[in-house]
Amino acid sequence: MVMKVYGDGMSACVARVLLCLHEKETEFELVPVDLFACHHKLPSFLSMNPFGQVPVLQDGDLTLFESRAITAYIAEKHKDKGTDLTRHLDAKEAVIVKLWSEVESHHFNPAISAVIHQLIVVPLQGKTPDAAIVEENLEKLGKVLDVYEEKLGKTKYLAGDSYTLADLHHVPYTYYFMKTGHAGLVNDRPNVKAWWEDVCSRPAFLKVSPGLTVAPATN
Amino acid sequence: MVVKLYGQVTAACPQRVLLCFLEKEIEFEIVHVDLDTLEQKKPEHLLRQPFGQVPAIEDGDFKLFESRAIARYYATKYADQGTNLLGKSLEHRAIVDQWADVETHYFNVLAFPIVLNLVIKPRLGEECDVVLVEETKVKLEVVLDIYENRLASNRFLAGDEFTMADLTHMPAMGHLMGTDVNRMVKARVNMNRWWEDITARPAWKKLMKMAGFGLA
Repeated sequence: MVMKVYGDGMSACVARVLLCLHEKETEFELVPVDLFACHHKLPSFLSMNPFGQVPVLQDGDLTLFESRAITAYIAEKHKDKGTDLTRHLDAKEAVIVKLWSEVESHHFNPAISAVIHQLIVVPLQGKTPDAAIVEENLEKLGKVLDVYEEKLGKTKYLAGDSYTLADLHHVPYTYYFMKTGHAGLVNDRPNVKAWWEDVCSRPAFLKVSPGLTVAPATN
Repeated sequence: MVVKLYGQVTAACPQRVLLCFLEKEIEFEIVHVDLDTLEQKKPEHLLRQPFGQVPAIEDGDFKLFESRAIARYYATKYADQGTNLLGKSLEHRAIVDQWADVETHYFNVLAFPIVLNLVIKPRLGEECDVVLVEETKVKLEVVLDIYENRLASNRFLAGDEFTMADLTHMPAMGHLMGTDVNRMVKARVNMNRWWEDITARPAWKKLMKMAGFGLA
């Protein structure tokens, strides 16, 4: 039985899971959830994810939410095929992958998702982006990218010399971010820019990026 | 050689690692980094943790930061010792991961501004953002309802046993229970039961004693 992903390819969090599935060469079925019609808030969906968000994964009897728990599960279940996303053969390398995945969750994601929320989601709701929130989070994001710039001067990818979940988790939101007028935050940092150009041209991502269709406002 | 934890024993993120060490019966040494004097922002500590936060660990030559990654590493390294924090099957581990991620993405994002404003800022002599606290508490009520529902049919967050999913919540919850959020937890039967259950664990009691909090 093939894994089912409930969601829409335009959602960065869904794309995170789809990207992992492609890197692991794992078949799946994408079950559409109409986000604009708020189907993710219906009782039938809330019974799968009580927080009312996509993605949800179903693998036989197992139902999972939280995109990074899902990617960890897929990467572990299929650790013997596709890209080695977790460096599972070495406990120390494996935890460095977890460390930089935590950095994405706690330092990178709050700042970048706040910017994307203002520049993409808010206009779709017919409202005006809050410039102060954008400004504040661009500043935070800049500081995080300074740390990345230094790290990526020492290693090719965030957790070492191989592409792992630590890099993968960043890709969908960064893709949207690069379409805003603030791409300079990445392009002005040579190591971050080189890393970005590498990760966004991976074949697995080229299968996912066509689904990331929402267009941000450019300021 | 014993693992060194750089941090302050009263701070939530170091406590997450300390609680893991205590549950796993791992020996450790605490190297105090004084948050009241912003030692964590000084060059010596930035070499251990480039974001200027605690904790960081040194285990011989091996160095790590990010409390949840550290806790996971030790829970994995010492899987056969102390409490099993990770879950038994691949599927159970995924459920543990799921609720641990819920702590990061839904709970901590709300707990942190409340603790920052009601606990940390007063210690540093800074002004509390009362409006933000009240707005955050409203959002927290919605999240706690989801937890309440989960804990109505599960003894712990990931099922029948105490795991990392529960442990990872405890430090921030401990701070929140010293604020008005105490009332919000006590008003929810299953959350209250869960909190009393997990704070009765010996490892938590040892941690509270180390942190200098009086026990009833």
